Amino acid sequence: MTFHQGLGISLHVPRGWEARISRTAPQVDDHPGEQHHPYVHLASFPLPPVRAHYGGGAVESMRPDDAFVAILDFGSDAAHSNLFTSRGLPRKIARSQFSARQLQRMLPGQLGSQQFCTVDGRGIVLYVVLGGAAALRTKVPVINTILPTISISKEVARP
Amino acid sequence: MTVLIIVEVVALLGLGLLVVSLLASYSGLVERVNVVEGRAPSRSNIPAQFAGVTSGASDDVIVVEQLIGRTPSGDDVLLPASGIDHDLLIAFLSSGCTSCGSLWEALREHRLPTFPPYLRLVVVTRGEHEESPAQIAELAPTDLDVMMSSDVWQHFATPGSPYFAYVEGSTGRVVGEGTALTWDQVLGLVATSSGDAALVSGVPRDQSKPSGDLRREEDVDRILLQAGILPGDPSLFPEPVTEFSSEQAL
Repeated sequence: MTFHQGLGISLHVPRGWEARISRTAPQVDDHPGEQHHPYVHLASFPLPPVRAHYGGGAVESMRPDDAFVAILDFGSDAAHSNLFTSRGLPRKIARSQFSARQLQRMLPGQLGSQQFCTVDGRGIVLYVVLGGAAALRTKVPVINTILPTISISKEVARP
Repeated sequence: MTVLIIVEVVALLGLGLLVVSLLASYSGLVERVNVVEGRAPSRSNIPAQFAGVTSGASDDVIVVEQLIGRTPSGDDVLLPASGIDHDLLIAFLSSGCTSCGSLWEALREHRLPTFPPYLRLVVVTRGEHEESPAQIAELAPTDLDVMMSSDVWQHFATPGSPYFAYVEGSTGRVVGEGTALTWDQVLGLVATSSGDAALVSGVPRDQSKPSGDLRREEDVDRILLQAGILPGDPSLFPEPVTEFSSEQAL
């Protein structure tokens, strides 16, 4: 496991996995006062440089044994909504929490899981995609070793 | 009597030396046979160099677990380089080097040779203290893996740019490195490092052949490629002897 950090988020990354901590740059068509929060992408397969927040552009190339994890920060406003009432990032995810209906975009064979929570006053989404049922056995235990290492601080490291 | 003993001692010493030298010679032969038969990891221990380029390869093996850096757009990235099922081609480029200009241009215009599907191309520039992220973002296409990290440059002891390193994904070992001015030359490095002669010959290996024959072909290709002999090299096609003079016959 290798320690990796950026934008106020840190985690340990298992050998052979890729991690990217990103934040969308301000866009010209942003609404006044619109904020862009950081997000983390973790994958057991090579991530393309251009991806959507929920893994669009990456999940299409997953093999049955692959896993993709996204941790999305929705900011402090979202933390006040009912969806994010759960406190703290899940430290463990069960195989039973995966289903095709949890996917943002349903692709054949894939399984997903979405968990909503509040961490330090910020609304956070944990979104996991498995390439297929094989990853339930091989990758979910690995994800469960990563989750306890994730730290999300209030302070964002750089503008 | 004393003379006889001295003669015997000298003779024994001589025989001893002969035995030691024979053993050393045998050991060398065994090592070479192991290399040829693929039992010794020669390819992975000695960074390969490819024809037509200079190389800054040292005798030390470079092993890399992962590449950590920042993209020009500000993502903090960790890319695995070992324990993976694909190899990495790392292109060390910079914004200032004249020779890098055409390489950047080919990247932007997607004018690259066909690299094998098991290879991931990653461009690594020096870090933000030495390169301008905005300038790199301007040079690089958005769909290319670009990382800025002076630490990665240091780890690879990169002598300058452009420079290329081939990392074997299963082990993280650098198995080939060198410089090149065109992406076609880089393809030569990839062929040399991976032992995949089909990349430069354009002729796929005949998979219907017996596996033993295929293995021998791959071994021969790898040895030739490591010696800088690419498919089509004139040395592979010596002039046939057509006429014999009576003097030659004698």
